[in-house]
Amino acid sequence: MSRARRGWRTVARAGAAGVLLSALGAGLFAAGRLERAADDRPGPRGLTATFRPDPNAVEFPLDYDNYAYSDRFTFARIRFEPPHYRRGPFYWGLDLKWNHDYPWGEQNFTRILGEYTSLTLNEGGGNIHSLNEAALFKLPFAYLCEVGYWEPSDQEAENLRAWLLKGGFLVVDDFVLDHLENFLFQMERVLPGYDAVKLDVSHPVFDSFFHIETLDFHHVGRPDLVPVYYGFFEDNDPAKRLMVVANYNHDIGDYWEWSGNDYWPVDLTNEAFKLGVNYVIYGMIH
Amino acid sequence: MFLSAFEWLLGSPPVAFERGQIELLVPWGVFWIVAAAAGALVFALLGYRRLGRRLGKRGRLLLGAARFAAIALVLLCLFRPQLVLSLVVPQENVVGVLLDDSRSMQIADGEDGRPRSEALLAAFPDEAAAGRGEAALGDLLREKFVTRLFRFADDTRRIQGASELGFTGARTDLLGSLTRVADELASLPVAGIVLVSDGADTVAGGREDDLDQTLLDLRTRGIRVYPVAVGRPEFEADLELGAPDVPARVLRGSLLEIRLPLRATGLAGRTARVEALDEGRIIATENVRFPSDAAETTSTLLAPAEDAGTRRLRFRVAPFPGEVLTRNNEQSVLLEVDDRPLRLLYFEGQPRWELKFLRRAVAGDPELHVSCLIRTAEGKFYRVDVADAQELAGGFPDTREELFAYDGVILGSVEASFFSQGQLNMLRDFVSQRGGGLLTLGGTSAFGEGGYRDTPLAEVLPLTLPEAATSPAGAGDGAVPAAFRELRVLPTRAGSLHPVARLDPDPLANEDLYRSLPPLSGVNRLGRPKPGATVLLEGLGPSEEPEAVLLIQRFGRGRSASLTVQDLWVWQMDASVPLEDETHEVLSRRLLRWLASEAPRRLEVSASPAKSLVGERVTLRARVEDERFLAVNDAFVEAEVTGPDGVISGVPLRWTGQGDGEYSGVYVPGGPGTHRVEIRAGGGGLREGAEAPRAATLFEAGVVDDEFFDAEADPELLARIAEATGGRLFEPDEAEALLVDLSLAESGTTVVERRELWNVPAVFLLLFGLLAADWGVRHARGLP
Repeated sequence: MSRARRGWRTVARAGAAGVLLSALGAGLFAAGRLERAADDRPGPRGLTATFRPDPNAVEFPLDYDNYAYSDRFTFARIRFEPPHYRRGPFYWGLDLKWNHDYPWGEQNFTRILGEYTSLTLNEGGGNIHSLNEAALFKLPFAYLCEVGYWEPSDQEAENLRAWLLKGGFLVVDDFVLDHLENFLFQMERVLPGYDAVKLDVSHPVFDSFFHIETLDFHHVGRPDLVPVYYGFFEDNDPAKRLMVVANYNHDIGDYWEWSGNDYWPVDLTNEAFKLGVNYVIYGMIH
Repeated sequence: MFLSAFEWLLGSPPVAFERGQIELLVPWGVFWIVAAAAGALVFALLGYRRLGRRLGKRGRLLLGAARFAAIALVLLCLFRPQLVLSLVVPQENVVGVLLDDSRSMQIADGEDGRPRSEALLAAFPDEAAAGRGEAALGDLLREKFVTRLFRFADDTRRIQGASELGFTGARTDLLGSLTRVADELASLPVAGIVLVSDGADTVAGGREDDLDQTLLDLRTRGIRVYPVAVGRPEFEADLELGAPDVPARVLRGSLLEIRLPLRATGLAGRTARVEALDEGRIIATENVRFPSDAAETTSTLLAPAEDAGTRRLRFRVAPFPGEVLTRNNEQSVLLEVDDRPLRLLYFEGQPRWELKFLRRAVAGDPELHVSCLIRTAEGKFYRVDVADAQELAGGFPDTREELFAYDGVILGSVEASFFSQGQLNMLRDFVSQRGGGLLTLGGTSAFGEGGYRDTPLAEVLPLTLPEAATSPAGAGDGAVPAAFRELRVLPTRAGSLHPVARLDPDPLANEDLYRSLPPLSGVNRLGRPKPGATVLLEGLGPSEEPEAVLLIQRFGRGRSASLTVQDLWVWQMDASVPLEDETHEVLSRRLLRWLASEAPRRLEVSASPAKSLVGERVTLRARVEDERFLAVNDAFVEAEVTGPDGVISGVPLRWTGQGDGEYSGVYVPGGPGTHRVEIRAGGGGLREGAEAPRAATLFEAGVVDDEFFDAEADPELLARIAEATGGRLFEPDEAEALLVDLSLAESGTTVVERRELWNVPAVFLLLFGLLAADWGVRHARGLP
């Protein structure tokens, strides 16, 4: 299936859902406001969440080895079940969406991370966890891609909320064009009332290890797209801790994945690595 | 009864025989006395020789002895034994009378609830009341002696009569008063000193050497002290709150640990509810049950210090029915709640989750400022939460000025070889000399794995580092270090009582709370806790023995703590820990506050006594140090004392010459109330242009209530005074016996009196008894 076609279908689905959602969302929103007013909580600060594995989750069985918990930094990739699970042309003959750039992406990235920083880490790649796994809470740095296809269940959204509010740092990558709508919609379920804030290069995340002077480098395969970096902040306050950074119209994972080949320009690949290293260092300090 | 029978039989009281000498009034020498005795013995034995067969051996001996004793007694009387006494000449000698005028005399522990003062006033009635009823001690003394009356409490003053007593003295200085009276009477013929008191001394308390010295001094001067004890040595039911153990200064928002000693008499099985109040608001309570009738225990209260400024904390327990003394059910203490944030430096050798979560834990604590320095790559550092662009710009501090500006240092996973020898020495001095706190965290490059075993920091750590643990922690099997182990962390007994680890006042609930938390993990091979260390948390892992997880100890002037796990952050992040759970935050904040809160400042000040009398000398002491925390002896130090009326007085403080950097001065409070002392230091070795250090403390004048604490009468102390000076302890109703004792003085103006002993009833009765026995035996055996 071509990217364009996939995009169309999403738009159609989003359009159909839009009517429903605008009515439902308005109702939910009003209800939420009333509830907040009733218990006098200061908006997003009053969020609660409890981790529970979703009893209805159906997870496609996969065979991979995760690193055991130790004293080392481990890269975690969040898996999810795409709606209308379908076969595709990618790895293992399946297009699972969340696994794009796996495993070379994290293998190359962790190698760079180990090379440049003083981190003690598992350099051979990363772990894969769903939002229903308690083990994810031992890994406060996670990577989530193709969020255009991400539809967590209510419990999964709550689990991610708990993970984020407790101190997790999430990098969202590899989503373009109308994927944003789904991402923002799902994030509203994860962090109700929180805004996606556009980040500029002055944010500390772009100066946590490498001093990134410009964010002006383009999507790996779509030079026409303008990347935007969205952030979600603790207490919805941009002065506070950045919890989620989302590379919209971008795919740094793809740069990482193919850094061993000559698919993409070295300069741009370097920028992608620099972003990744900065994200990890920022996430481990803030 | 016994005494009067003794006196009737022997003609004089026992004390006369104690003090006097017995002499025989015979012109003959010892030879004749022995010869006469031998003759009597021979006569006695010969007399019964003829009857020997009929009497048997035992009877012969018995009768012989009786006869011998009778003859010997008659012989003794012929030698005219006499008791030689030295008696005071009436009205020629002075008796010093010391009357206790302290507040403890108001305690109504006498019969029918009469105060102790009543017994004293009965013994020394006014002139008008004299002559009525039973002879009072005062009257009897006046008849025979020249009396000098003194009232004493915290000071001693001559008085004319007991009517001048008000029983309002705030302290009882028994020894001081005795010495002063002895001095005043030094030039007079003194028969002795009568001391009417409950013996509840509130000044000498515990100063054994002073007591012995004073008593020896009195004895050398030949002054006997005759204490008359009033009051009961033990109350039937009483609860007393001791002096609360509270730091003089506490950081706002800290959990204040108050240790309050309780002494309960006659309250076995009863429970007291101890309340701590801050300006009338209850801030902490604890129920204390007394296991026995004489229970001494300590109530540990944890109270939040919420508002900055001078606070007066009060502690109270509602009186129990039947308690004689209720004034000692209350205590109060002044406390300075400080809102100057503590400054800590957290250095990590690599980005670690521990740092992120610790930063977040202290973010909400305005009193903790943790500047973080992280080595993100070799030679590359990331600074966060620094005060300005200069702070830590050069990496880890390498001057004392820079490092010692912090109150505490946290060392994460960073190898010892990162530091220069000078920096390692400086870190040790930071704790031992500057008095800062050092927290060492477990991690890949910490402890032995970080190569700290043979460094100066090994001295500071509260645990030993094993020899083998010098290989990097990472050298394990694949991705997991060899020493990696999970540990289920629980509080120790000491931890359940310590303000850092006591998350719930109930020890069982506290343990349950820890049990509900997920396991943590360690990667370091560790030795044993050092002898001076206290283990607050321990972990149960794969080995049988629990291992220390959180240890603390004092090191020199400062504090040292080790958190040996590498992932306390799991208690925040783990899926099983509710989002709202504050354990990680509370524990982290408490640990850091404990670590750094006692770090001395460059200028420290104290006032003693903290509770003084009006007009009493209050000594103000200051310790002055420069930016490198080295003592300065040539500074200009001045105290400004602000009285309760707002009047400010300046008191210059001078170097004592006894200790480096120590200054002192004296202030005398003119009125009651809370006094605030502010001290400024400048000049001398203190750097020009630098901000002059300031410090403040408090003291309270005119609120001394020592008299109601430890207020039971102390006849033991009085008896000790009597014994050491050659006097005797009397009860108030033994006035006449006291007078006899006083009359037999060896000092003062005396006259010698000889009392015949041959004519006392005891001699006649004994002789009669011996002869009757002799006759009785012979009559029974049918002998002539």
